[in-house]
Amino acid sequence: MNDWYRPIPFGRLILVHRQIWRAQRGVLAGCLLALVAGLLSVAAGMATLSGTVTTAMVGARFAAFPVLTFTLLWTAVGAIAAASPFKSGWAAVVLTVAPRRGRWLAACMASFLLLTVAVTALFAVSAAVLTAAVLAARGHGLAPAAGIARPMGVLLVMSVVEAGIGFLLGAATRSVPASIIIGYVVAPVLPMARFGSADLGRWLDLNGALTALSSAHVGGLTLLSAVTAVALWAGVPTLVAWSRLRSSLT
Amino acid sequence: MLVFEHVSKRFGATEALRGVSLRVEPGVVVGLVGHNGAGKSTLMRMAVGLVRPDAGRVVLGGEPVERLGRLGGLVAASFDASALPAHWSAITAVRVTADLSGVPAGRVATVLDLVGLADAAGKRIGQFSMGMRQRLAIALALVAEPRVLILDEPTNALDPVISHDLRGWVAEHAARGNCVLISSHNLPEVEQVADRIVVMHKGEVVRSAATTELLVSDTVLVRVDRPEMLRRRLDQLGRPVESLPGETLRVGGASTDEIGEIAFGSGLVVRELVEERRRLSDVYQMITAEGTNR
Repeated sequence: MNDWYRPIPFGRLILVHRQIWRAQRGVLAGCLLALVAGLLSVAAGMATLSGTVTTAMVGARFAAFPVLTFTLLWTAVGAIAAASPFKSGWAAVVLTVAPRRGRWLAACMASFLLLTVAVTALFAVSAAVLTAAVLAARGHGLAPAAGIARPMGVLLVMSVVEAGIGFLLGAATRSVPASIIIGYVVAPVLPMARFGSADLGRWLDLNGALTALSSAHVGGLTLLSAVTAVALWAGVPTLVAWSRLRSSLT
Repeated sequence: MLVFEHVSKRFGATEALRGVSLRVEPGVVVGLVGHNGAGKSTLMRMAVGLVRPDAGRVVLGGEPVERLGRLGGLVAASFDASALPAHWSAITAVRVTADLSGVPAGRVATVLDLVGLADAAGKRIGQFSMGMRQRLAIALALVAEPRVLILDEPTNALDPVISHDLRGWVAEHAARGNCVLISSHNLPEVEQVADRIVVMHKGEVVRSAATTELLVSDTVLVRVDRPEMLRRRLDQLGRPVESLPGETLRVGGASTDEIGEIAFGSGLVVRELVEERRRLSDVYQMITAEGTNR
C-alpha cells in the first residue's frame, strides 16, 4: 500500500505529456503558426534592408520585427495548451491515474515550456539559415547574417515568458477566448491606467517590468513596481488556477 | 477494499449525495442502480478523487483516497465515454494511462486486442462510434489490472457480443480477488453480473443486499403430472395457489422442501420445482417508489 503514497515521478509526468502534446492538434497548430509567422517576418524584414547591410542592422531588424512576431503568438498557444485538458477531457484521463493535481499541472506547464524552447530553437536555426539565404540573394553576402545571434537570448526569454503567462491565464480561466482577451487586450491597456493623479499603470505593466528587471541598474520604486507587475501577471493566475484545481471534475 | 464512509456532496443547490456509506469487498461485484441524478456517478468519481466529498471520506485499501499519490493498479474507472479526448488516437489514450500506471508497454496492445480495438488503435477517438468509445473507456480501466475496478454504465451503446464479453471480464476480475463496482440502467444485466445490489435514490442508499436475497420471493413454481390434485391438497392446507399454463402452479408462502413433501405424499410425479425469482426491475420499482413516498 505504501507505494501508492508516493506520487508519480515528475520526470515520468513530463515524458507522458510529450505524447500528449503530439496528439493535441491545437497546440501543434499554434506552434506551427508561430514558426511560419516568425519565418515570414524574417524573410520580409531581411528582404527590405537596403544600403550597406551590417551585422548590427541585421540584429536590430531581427529583434524589432521577427522576434516580436514569433513571441507574440505564444500567449495564445500557452492558453490553448492549458485550457485543452479541461475542454477536451484529458484532464480526467490523467487525474484518474495521477491524483496530485498541482503536481500534474506543474508537469503539464513544464513540458509545455520545454516544447516552447524546442520550437524556439527550431525557429532560431531556421531564421539563421533564412537570413543568410535572403541576404546572399540580395547581394549583401553571408557575413551580416551573424547579427541575428545577438537577440537570441531575448528571443528565448520572451518566448518562454509569453508562453508561461499564456499557460497560466489558460489554466486560470480554462477558456482560450478569455485568455486571449486578457493577454492581448487587457494587458496592453493596463499600463495606461491612472487613478486620479496616481500612475497605476507602472504597477501593472508586465513588459515594462521585464525590461526593468533585465536591466543591471534597477532599484527603489522601479524595482518595486516591476515586482508587483510580475506578481500580478504570474502570481494571480497561478493562485486562481490552483484554487480552481480543488473543484470537482465532472 | 473500497469503503465510502458517510460521504456527502452538494453541487450548488443540488444535494448529490447524503451521507452515503458503502463497502465493496474483494471478490465481489457490486451493482449500483438508481434513476438519473441518484448520485451513482458522483459516488464513483469520488473513488478516484475526481470529486471530493464535502463530508465523510473514501477509503481505498485502508487509506483515504486524497492521501494517495498514484492510483494506477489500485483503482481504475471508466466514466462518460463521450468525454474522451477527440484528438487523441486510441493507442495514445491507452499508452498515457499505461505509462502513468507503470504498466509494461506490451499490455497496451493486449488490452486493445481484448476490447476489439486492435485494428482501430491509430484512429482518432473523434472518428469512433459511441460503442467504440465505450470499449476504449473499458480498455483504459482494465489496462493496469486494478484492485478496484469501477465501471459507470459500461454497456451503453455496446453491442450484445461485447456486453457478454464484458460480463465475463468483470466476473474474472472479481474472481481474482478484486473489487468491482458497476452501475447500469440495464437491470437484467446488473442482475446477471452483480453479487450484491445497491439501490440509490435521491443521493441516498435505499437498499443494499445480496442479489440472491434481494430477488428471492416466497413463492414456488411447481409442475406435476396432476396439478388439479395438488391444488386441492394445497387449498386444504390454506396455501395461496395460482394455476399457470403448462400444468404449473404458483404457490405462495411456501418453500420448495414443503411443496416437494406435499406432492410426494400425494403420490404425484414432480417434473419441476423451483423458487420463483423476482426480476430486479420489479424490485427496483418497488424500492424507488418507497423511497419517493418517504
